[in-house]
Parts: sequence; structure tokens; C-alpha cells
Amino acid sequence: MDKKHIAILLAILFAVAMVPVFDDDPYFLQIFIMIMLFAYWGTSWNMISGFAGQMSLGHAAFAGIGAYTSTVLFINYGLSPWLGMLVGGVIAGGFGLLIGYPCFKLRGTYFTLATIAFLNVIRILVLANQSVLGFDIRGAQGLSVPWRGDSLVNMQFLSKTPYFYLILVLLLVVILISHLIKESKMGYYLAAIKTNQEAANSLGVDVTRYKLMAQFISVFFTAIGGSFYAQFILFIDPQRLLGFDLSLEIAIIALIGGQGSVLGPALGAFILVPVAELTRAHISGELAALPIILYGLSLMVIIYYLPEGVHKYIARWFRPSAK
Amino acid sequence: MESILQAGVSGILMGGIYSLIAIGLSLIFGVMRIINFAHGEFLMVGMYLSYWLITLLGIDPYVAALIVTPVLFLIGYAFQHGPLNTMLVREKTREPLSILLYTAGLSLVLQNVALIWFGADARAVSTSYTGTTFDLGPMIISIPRFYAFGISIVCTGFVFWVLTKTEIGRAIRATSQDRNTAKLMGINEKKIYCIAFGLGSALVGISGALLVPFYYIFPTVGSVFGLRSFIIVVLGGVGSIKGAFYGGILIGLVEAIATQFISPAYAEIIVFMMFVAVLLFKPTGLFGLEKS
Repeated sequence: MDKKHIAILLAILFAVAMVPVFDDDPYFLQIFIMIMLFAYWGTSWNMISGFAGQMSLGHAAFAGIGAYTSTVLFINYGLSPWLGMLVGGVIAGGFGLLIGYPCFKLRGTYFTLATIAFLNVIRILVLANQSVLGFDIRGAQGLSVPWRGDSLVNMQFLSKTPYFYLILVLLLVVILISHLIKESKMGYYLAAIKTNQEAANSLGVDVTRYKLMAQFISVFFTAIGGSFYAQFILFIDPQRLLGFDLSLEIAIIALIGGQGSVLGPALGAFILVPVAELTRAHISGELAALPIILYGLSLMVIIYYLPEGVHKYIARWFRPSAK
Repeated sequence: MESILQAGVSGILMGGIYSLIAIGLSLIFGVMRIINFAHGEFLMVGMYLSYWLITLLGIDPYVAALIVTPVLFLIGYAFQHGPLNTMLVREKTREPLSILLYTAGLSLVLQNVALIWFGADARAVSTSYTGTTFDLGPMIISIPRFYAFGISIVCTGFVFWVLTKTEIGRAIRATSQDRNTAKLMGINEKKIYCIAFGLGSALVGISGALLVPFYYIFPTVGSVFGLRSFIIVVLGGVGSIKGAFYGGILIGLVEAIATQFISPAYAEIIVFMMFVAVLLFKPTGLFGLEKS
């Protein structure tokens, strides 16, 4: 990436960071926050699904685990969500490894189906139980995050602006980590695994180890996203947060933008989420399902015409000589 | 004791329909290695189609099945002929992930179009069969479920006959074993794909029509059945019609008994865990059958 690209990206970053300064209409900020949250989730998802080619359609489970963990700790021990989200990340990471270790033996579509199975198991367990390990999680009713005042420690704010900057920082963090992984030896190993696992293995790449590493990192950050979501919405709806629909949406965003590239998922989010949010706002009642139809159609169109995602297409503008 | 028997029979009857849906998917997966994520949504389409035929035209549900089946066949055929064949050719690797994703998108579209068009409310049809039962010893058997089971068995037998005794069936089996050799033998494998997808969709269409007399119809009804059918196909052994058949019955049984004695939620968990267990420990399927 040369200086011109970096300059452009920094300019975009600056423009985004200045948004709340120019317009702090809460609804407007809300859209941006959701865009960045999905960009964040997409980028995290991409680390295992895009880079390593292990397409997980069960990632929402980890967002949910993160959300519930940090919230339960917040409710029962008053633990600051800043710490709670790290705990959530680690616990989710543990689950990710637990699920990943046996499942990584499976190829392609079988792996994907297994991730869906685990997602459903976790979802049903949460829905069916009022409490877990003695902690109240309210099952299908959903868990409310108690409002303990506008404070940094509690990660709760009256205005949307702090949330905006928080998710922006988180997004930058995962993009950075994503970039570091991609450019590192690990990134190359993952790419080799994605292209041809057997060949990579025969060349001495420790396939299991790198897959698990990517999985842990991906899941860890996905869970933190879940905690953020809980603190932002102040309510955890297990049907939504642990649902297959969310998993698929995250995947769609990353795929549309371009899985396998660092900025692809963010691009996908910036394209799809605004359309969805705006449609959701202006069309009500029966047509409320229109945004999801849009997601579905986008997926179909992109997979058919541009399977590498929009990113590849745009990247060509920047460097017509390469690739 | 009686309740086990009742649950068991109930489960087997439902299992018949699961089998039929799974056999449809198995055909598609076996021949083309495609995971049709929208398989459940095709079921939903079949159900709504039946529903409208019954309520608007007053047709007998089992006659409606005769109309729904060819319609779904054509829909399936068209999809394969158009977008899917193109993508299948493009992706030369083992299982085409792109088609899984494409059909996942399709399933979202179908579900939500149905949601907009028909509304989220569950519908039920009142047919002359609905709610009727007969007694078999200590058990009460629901007549529409019984018919559904019976017709499913007949259809399964028919599929079996087609696959083993007809030219087309042999072509399908040949293509699923080795598409390149089949091509060398003069089989137009693209056409076979279309027929397989059409047939698989037709089977799911019949299943939908058979469900209507006793099951609720709503836009997301396909997702549960669809996911079940993937599980059953893997359970029975990919590409094995016999496996899908037994798998369906087994899942129906397990589900019914677990629902009765534990809870519906844990019944689902058990099914999922069985699925994962088979994937990990016996990937060729519980019944160890490779091809039918």
C-alpha cells in the first residue's frame, strides 16, 4: 500500500471521525454506529472465514456469549463492561476453540453446517433457560441491561456520540489487527490453508494451530462487539443476537464487500447497512421485511457476478497494474 | 408405556415426511454436491401454493399435491438450468460454497417476500381431513398424518424405482458417481443436474402439500424443515437415498420421543448433537451407505 492509498484512507477516517461534530442528530449517528458495528463484526468474522476459508455461519453465537457475559457480570457484580467485555471475549474464545477443534476437521460445507448446528444449540439453551450457572438470563424474554447512569466506567451514555467514537475505535482496532494478520506469516499460512489445506499441511504448515488461532481472535472480537451492542441497545434479545439471521447478515456484509481482504467487510457494511437502516426507517408495517430481501438479493447478485466482492472491483481503480 | 408408543408412532409418521424432504435434498446433494439452502423455502412455497389452491379453488388437498408437484419441479429445473448450472461450472472444486451462499440469499428473499405478501400470521386450512383420527389399539392416529406418511412411502418407492429401473435414473446415478465419466458415456450432465434439482424440488413440493392438512403455514416454516433435512441427509450418508429415508424416520422418532419425555427445546438440541456427532465420528453417515 503506497502513500497515496494511506492518505486516502486517512482522509476517509478523518471525515468519519468528524461526523458527530457536524451533525449530532441521534438518528443520523445511530445509522453510522450500526454501519460501524457491522463493519466491525464483518471484519472479525473475516479473520476466520475469509482469510482461512472456514466459512462460519454461526458467529452470532459468540456475539451473544459476549453480550450475556459482560451484562451478567455488570448486573451481578457491577463489573465495568470494559472489563466485562474482555472476559466475554475470552469465554467466547474458549467456546470458539471448543467448537473449532473438532469442527475444523470438517471440509467446506460440512464445517458450515456444523457451525449452524452449534449456533442453534446455544440459542436454544439460552431461550429455554431462565438462568445459567445461577445467573439470571431471563431466557426468551431477553435480558435488560440496567441503566446505571451516564458514565464512562459503566459504558453507558446519554448521547450517541461517545458510542460513535467507541465503535469507531473498535473498528480501527480490528482493521489494524486484520491487516497485521494478513501481512504476517500467519496470514500467509491461512491463505495457504484456504487455497489447499492438504498441500499446506504437506508443506509443514500446522493447519490446526493456525485455524484455531484465527478462530480465537475472530471470536474474541466478535464477542466484544456483542458487549458493545448490549451496552448500546441496553437490551439483549436472544432471538436476534443469537439468531442465524444475524450470522448470515454478518457473512453477507463481508462477502459483498470482499472476504479475504482487510477492508472488504467494512466496505460491505458501508454499502449495505445504510440502505437497510434507511429502508427500515421509511418503510413501515408490512414492507418492513424489505431490507432483508435486499440483503438476500445482494448476496445472490454478488455471488453470481462478483464472487470476490466489491472490493476487488474498486481496488482495480487504485492500482490498474496489479493483480 | 402407552405414551411412548403414541409418541413413537407419531414420530415415525412425521418421519415419513422428513424422509421425503431429505430424499429431495439428497438427490440434489448427491448428484451435484450442492447444498440448497433454500430447500426449506421451496417447501414453504409448496405449502402456500397448496393452501391457495385449497382455499381459493376448493380443491382437495391431495389433488392439490398433483398440481404443486410439477410446479415445484419446473421451478427447480429453471433454477438449475439458469443460475446454478453457470455457477457449478465455474466452481470446479469439491462442494461449491458459492451455491450454498447463493441459495442462502435466495432463502432470505423467499422467506421475506412471503412475509410481505402473506403476512406473518400462521394459517391453517380446514379440510375434510383435518382433525380426523382413527384408533389403532391404544393409540389415536391422525388421519392426515397417516396419509402423509403413506404417500411419502409411496413416493420414496417411486423415486427408488426411477433411480434403479429407468434410463434416467441410471443416468442420474452415473452422474453422481463420476460426472466426467458419465459425460464420456454420452450423458448430458447439465440436463441431469436440472432433472435432479427439479425432482428434488418436486419431492419437497409434495411434502408441502402433504403437510398442509395438519400443519401451520407461515413464512419461516421452511427453515426448521430445511435445517432438519440437511441434518438427515448427513445422518443418512450423503448421496444415499436409503440413508435419507431411514434417517428421516429416525429423526422423526427421536424428536417425538424426546419432545414427549424431555421438552421440545431439548429434543432439538439432541437432534443437533446427533448431527454433530455423526459429522465428527461417522462422516459417511449413520447407515454407512455410500450410494443408493
